[in-house]
Amino acid sequence: MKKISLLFCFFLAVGAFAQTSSDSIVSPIVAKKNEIKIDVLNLISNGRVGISYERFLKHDFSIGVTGMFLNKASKEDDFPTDDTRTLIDYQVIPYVRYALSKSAANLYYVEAFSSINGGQYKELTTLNNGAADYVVTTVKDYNDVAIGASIGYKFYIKESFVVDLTLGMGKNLFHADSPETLSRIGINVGYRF
Amino acid sequence: MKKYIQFFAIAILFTLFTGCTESDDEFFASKVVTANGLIAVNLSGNTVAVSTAIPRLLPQTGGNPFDLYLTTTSNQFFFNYTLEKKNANNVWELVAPSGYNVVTSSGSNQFGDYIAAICQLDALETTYEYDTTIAPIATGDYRLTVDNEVVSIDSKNAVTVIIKTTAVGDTTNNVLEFTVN
Repeated sequence: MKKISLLFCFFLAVGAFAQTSSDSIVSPIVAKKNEIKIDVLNLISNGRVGISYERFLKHDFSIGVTGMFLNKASKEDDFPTDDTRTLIDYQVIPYVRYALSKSAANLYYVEAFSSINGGQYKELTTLNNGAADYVVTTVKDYNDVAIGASIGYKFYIKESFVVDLTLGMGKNLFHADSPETLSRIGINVGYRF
Repeated sequence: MKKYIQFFAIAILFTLFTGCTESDDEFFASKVVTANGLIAVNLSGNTVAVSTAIPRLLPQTGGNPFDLYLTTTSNQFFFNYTLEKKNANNVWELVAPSGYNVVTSSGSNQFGDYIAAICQLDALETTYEYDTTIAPIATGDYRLTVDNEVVSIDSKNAVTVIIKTTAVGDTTNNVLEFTVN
């Protein structure tokens, strides 16, 4: 988590610097109000399928939603015996974004998000077979809601194809056994139309 | 070009931090129980006998017995002890395995700085047993110190059990000092 904090600070610094740049010419990108993306980082590194839709309401303001689902059977199979306490199966992440840069083609942004997430967690359970107690590891399901914030950078190629990097953290609010914090790290590629 | 270099630098940073995209909660499947007096240390002449007979159904104060095998699925538990000899400067030094004779009648040993005593589940699957005698070869003052934890070995996809215990017999606070003449 310390690593995320350092990277977060790095982005904040870069983001602040980015505010000094500006484009006085209105980009054709602005006329395109919709964007769909797929998260290649999580797909390759974690076997998670993440798809996002973003709707641009103003030049510097947008809303969107990301759906992310675990698509790696080996991870599910290994979970009961590995050394991780929780496994996130799905996340639905609605978000709002505010662009820090005036350029539409190359910009930094800040984001507030919520994550409706669910998955599994492990705990030790004491059972009794009539003669004695014994302890086993049991896997249970959880569902929770997190809120958090991110910072990111995106740029467009040929005014339609987007590469979008996001880094953020959230905190689960309700379930005592859900992951305490959620990271939001992604490299998304997509199309704006 | 500068923009793309900047992007690739950031992308590499992201790739380095991919591990952070997963939950970093750690889960240690371990259970700690307490059962005093499981390790017996007895001095007879120049020979020290170290033994255990840990019942698989470990009695628990005010509760049901605790089944070590069902919990750990392990046939072996271990604990460590050390044998030291006082040198000419009155400083305790670890005795190398070549400095003592060992006879093992139950369980087994692994020798290093520590002597790892491996308690073996018997054929009836009722008791984890270990019985070894140690006889130092050279004369002098010796000290045998027993760890106060007995731990399951290789709990395959199960729960590791740590038994907090004490040594009984001729020890004081898990330590036996004796002289070989």
